[in-house]
Amino acid sequence: MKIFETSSTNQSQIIPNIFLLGITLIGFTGFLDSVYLTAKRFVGGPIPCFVFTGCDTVAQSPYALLFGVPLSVIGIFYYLSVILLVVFYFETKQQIAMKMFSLLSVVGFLASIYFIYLQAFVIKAFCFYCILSAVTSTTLFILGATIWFQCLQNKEAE
Amino acid sequence: MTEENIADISVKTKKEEKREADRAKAQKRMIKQAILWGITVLIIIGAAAGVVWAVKNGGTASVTTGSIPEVTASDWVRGNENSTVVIVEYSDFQCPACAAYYEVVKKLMDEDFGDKVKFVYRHFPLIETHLTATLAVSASEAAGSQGKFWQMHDKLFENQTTWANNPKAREIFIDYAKELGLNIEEFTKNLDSKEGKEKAINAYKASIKMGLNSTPSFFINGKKIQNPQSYEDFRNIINQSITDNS
Repeated sequence: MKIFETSSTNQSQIIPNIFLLGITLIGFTGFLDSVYLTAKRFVGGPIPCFVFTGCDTVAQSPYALLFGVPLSVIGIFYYLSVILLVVFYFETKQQIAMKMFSLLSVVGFLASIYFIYLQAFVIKAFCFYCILSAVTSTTLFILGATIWFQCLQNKEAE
Repeated sequence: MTEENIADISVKTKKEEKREADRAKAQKRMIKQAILWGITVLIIIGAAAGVVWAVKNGGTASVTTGSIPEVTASDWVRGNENSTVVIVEYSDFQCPACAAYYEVVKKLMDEDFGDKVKFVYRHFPLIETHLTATLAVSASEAAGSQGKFWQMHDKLFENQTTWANNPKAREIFIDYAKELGLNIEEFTKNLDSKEGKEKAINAYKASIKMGLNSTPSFFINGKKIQNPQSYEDFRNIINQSITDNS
């Protein structure tokens, strides 16, 4: 069963707008989340320690950096790319954009698994905004995989 | 003019009309495109700016909590003891944010307000998550009983990453006491005493009872302030208090 309708003229599948809107909104959530973490890092003061939830040891840990660049900054670029690719596809209907999105979402998902592993087993502390990012990137991965297999199915049909 | 010519012209105009219609279509498309991308970019930049602004200005409003206990002789005080501006900090030697604010407060008291402001340090060890915080309280109190509370306070914050959650924390604290030239026998006795531990637990309970839930928490003349986001912010807040009280 196909989720997407096949347009009669060129056999290319049009991804429904509601799907695109969903990806954009989730990407936007991830984007704001990353901006927040980055802003906290650069303009915010030290994050206080709370009685039961402890301190934000995750955001302050050395693992929050990759080659000296804060992960939250990389997150900003990741989610920004997702949004721009989807808007580009919405405008031009060029499938390459959605294929790039699908591939990108795999990278995002694998990165999230690694970050969750770091939080659970290495730092042994969790950070709410990091978990939120893992949730958004996992959702994007599921959407990306769905789109990817729809695109492949379409190729076989041609 | 022959009929053929007229037909020719009408074909030409039809072609031109079509071209013009195409051009208009393309133009419309371009405008649509520009609007779509314009809105996208505006929303992204606007939202990002909003988040940054919220993070930057989130800490300016002052929060009112219940009144805090009066400063007594049993409190650890530095600065001008007679000042009308009194800053009270509830802090935890094992809290990374407290170590970050330690640097700020030290600079403020050393360079700006040493003779203008009275600064009080009170314990609020977050014993639920910070396993060596209790012993650190004992170490500071043990040094305090030999007149070197602030020296030990500085050492604890400056070397927080060394002793925090270190099973050898006790030995490390004894080394600090040696470096400060304290009587080691007396220091060790106080460090291991029940009183030090009880002091930490009681301080924790008292802070929770006051409604505090995080460290560091700062009070200026009994009023809780949101933690300043920078050295400059903190200096401005204190300067404001000095102006208000003079």
